[in-house]
Amino acid sequence: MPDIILALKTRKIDAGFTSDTIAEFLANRDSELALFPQNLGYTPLGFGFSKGDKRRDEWQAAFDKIPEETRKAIYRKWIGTDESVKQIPEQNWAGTNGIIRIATVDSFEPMSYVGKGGKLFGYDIEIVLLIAKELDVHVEFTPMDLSAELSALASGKVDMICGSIVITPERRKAMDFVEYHKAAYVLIVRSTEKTVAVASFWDGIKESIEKTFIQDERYKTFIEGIATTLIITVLAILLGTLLGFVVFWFCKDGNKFANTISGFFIWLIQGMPVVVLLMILYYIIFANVALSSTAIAVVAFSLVFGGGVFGMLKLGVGAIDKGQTEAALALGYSDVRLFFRIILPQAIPLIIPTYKAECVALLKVTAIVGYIAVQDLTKMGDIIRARTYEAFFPLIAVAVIYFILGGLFTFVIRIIETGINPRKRKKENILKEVLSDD
Amino acid sequence: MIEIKNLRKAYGSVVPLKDVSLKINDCDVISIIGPSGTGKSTLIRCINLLETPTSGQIIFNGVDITAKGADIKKARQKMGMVFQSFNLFGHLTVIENIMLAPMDILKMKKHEAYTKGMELLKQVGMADKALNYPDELSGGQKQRVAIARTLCMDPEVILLDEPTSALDPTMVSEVQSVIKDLSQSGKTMMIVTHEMNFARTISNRVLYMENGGVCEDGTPEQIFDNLKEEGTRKFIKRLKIFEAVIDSKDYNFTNFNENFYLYLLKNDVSTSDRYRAQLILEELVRELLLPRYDEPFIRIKTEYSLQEKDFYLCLTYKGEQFDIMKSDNALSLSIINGIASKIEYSFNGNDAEPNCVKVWLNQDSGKHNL
Repeated sequence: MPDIILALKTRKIDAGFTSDTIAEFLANRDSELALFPQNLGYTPLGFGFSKGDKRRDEWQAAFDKIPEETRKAIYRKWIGTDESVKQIPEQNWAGTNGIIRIATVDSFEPMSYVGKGGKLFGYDIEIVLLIAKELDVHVEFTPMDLSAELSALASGKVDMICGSIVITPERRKAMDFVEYHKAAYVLIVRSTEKTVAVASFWDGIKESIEKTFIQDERYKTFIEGIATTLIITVLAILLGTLLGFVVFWFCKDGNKFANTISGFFIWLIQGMPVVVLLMILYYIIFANVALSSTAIAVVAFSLVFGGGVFGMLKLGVGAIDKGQTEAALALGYSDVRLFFRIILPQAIPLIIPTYKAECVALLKVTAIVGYIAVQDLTKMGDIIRARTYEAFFPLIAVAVIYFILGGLFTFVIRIIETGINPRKRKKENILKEVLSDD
Repeated sequence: MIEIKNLRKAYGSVVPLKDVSLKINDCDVISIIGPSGTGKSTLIRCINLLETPTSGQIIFNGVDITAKGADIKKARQKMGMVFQSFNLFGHLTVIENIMLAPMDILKMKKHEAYTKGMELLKQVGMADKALNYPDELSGGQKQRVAIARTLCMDPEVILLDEPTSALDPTMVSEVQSVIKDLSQSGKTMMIVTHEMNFARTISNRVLYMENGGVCEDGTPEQIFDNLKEEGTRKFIKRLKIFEAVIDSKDYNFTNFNENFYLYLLKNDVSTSDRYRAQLILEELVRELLLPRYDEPFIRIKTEYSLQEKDFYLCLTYKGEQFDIMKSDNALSLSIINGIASKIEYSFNGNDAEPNCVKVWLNQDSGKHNL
């Protein structure tokens, strides 16, 4: 949706096709936009349950009890411009009837969106909570993409999905819906009477920065995104390195079985796009395992990075002359000891440049975790973009942060490199303790 | 000290070592010589089990180290090895290369290892390079460090696998002198080498290997001076052989001369020697022998020693007894006599080719101005 508005505003398109809820909300907020006053047809919106889920009927019944006026008032509140009244009730009821896991859309203002403090807001959210209160259940929301929601419901990751979901005949075949709103399709266009005075260049920038970072404490959203990205990347680097090393250890002596197995898995993992691997893990392999999506992302990237580390070790260690091993053996070293004392210290300097590049590459490739409802830096940028309807600052901010993080990674690895590469020691530090006593 | 019993090593169908049995005594300094590819290195590498023998036993200080579960590491600590390609640890300085194994394996204190390492470096003349990395050294220096590294473990036996083969000729002597000093220290040593003179001076025992077996085993005098075996003789004198048979009056001499010329060129015979060799053959065969017989059968064999740079010619031929020296071709005879340093004729009626002429040509000292 924000993409449509951006395209509209930048005159890439002349009209956007959307539902009246969004169009009205945007037109209310932004005088640059207007509704093309023609109804192009109605569509029901629904809360989707898996086919045959008994809870649907309870929810439908509870929904039907909500008075028409209450619903209308809530609706008006969310499409209005008064941000101060847009509050979501706390789940302060007992919740004796358990928990329901609900996936919802993360960037679909005013129906369902991640707002201030990373919390969910919107018309759908409030209606869901009204019903949940009536049924005395607690709701566990997971914000994600619409496409991710559909897969999440199908794979049993969640019990219900919401967030302006259009009920189509095809979806009816796969799901049962609680119909909660009737939306109309309209066109959203640029308003002819352009009332807004063009703000000065600097004021425009100031306003954008204010919207992107300050308003609703959005910088916190960025910080959360950075934290998630860092956690996934750092854990994946550590676990992946360990994994790659362990696999290499079993394969290094040419054990046929270990080599065949690891060769197969590496072929499998490296043969598909990381995003596909991520989704296979999330929706298929760990579909019924209580693992957070962040943990699954860590698993996926550890596998990918482990494969890389394995390859690097194989090349690096393979580049060390066989004579080194023979000399160490002839001195009485064991295989294990000579590997750590003689081979690895010489292989690491060969591996480090590639390793460094792989770490930065991994940092960047984690940007796809949004596919499995992890809110990393990129996703947070999207969420903010969806609120501000501005592309420039969120995107530039995200890019700059990735640059800084990448630089940080390179810096840290360089320090480690200097620490472990024996050839980078200072001459006066070699044998310091022996020489100083002489 | 080391007893090798029926040692055999095979890689599939290639058998570099066939059934070697050997006893190495304390304080032996053994040189192993022989043509390339005869299993010398394989033998020495089997002794410290860098190559696993296909069959056979190696008994070191009374313990069979080829047996299952034998403590190979312990045995290797007592058998130092010096490699052709030095194999210094590239990530460590010279002194650390020497200290590493004593500290890691013998649990020597750092101070102690340092003191001992420096002492050994002085011994091999490398003390001033203690803090250099191996890639900053020349080949000869690397090898001297490698020898010091081996010595720092106090081995009972030192195995040297062609220690000077990868060196520039200018650096061979510095390494040889270190090894020579070592050979006089009373340590048991085993050295694979191609340097005959060096082998002769340092060792008290020489093994001549050929085709994966030990052909001769004796003192340097026995091996080098009384060349018993044909193979040993050929190897030590570095003989190059040329053979041909002339069996008709219409023999294609152009072809023969070309082959002979190539053989001389290949073995780097000097121009004047080459000319002398060709001339003497020509005179002997074409001027003296061929006119004499209607159905000639002449077997020619020449040996050229790269070591001593001299020729030996042996012609055997069928037919009635005929001593070339008694020929009436005075011109040819005088040419032959002018070139050859020694000529012998013999007749043995039992041989297929009863006549035999042996001619020796010493290196041209410049007195024959042909």
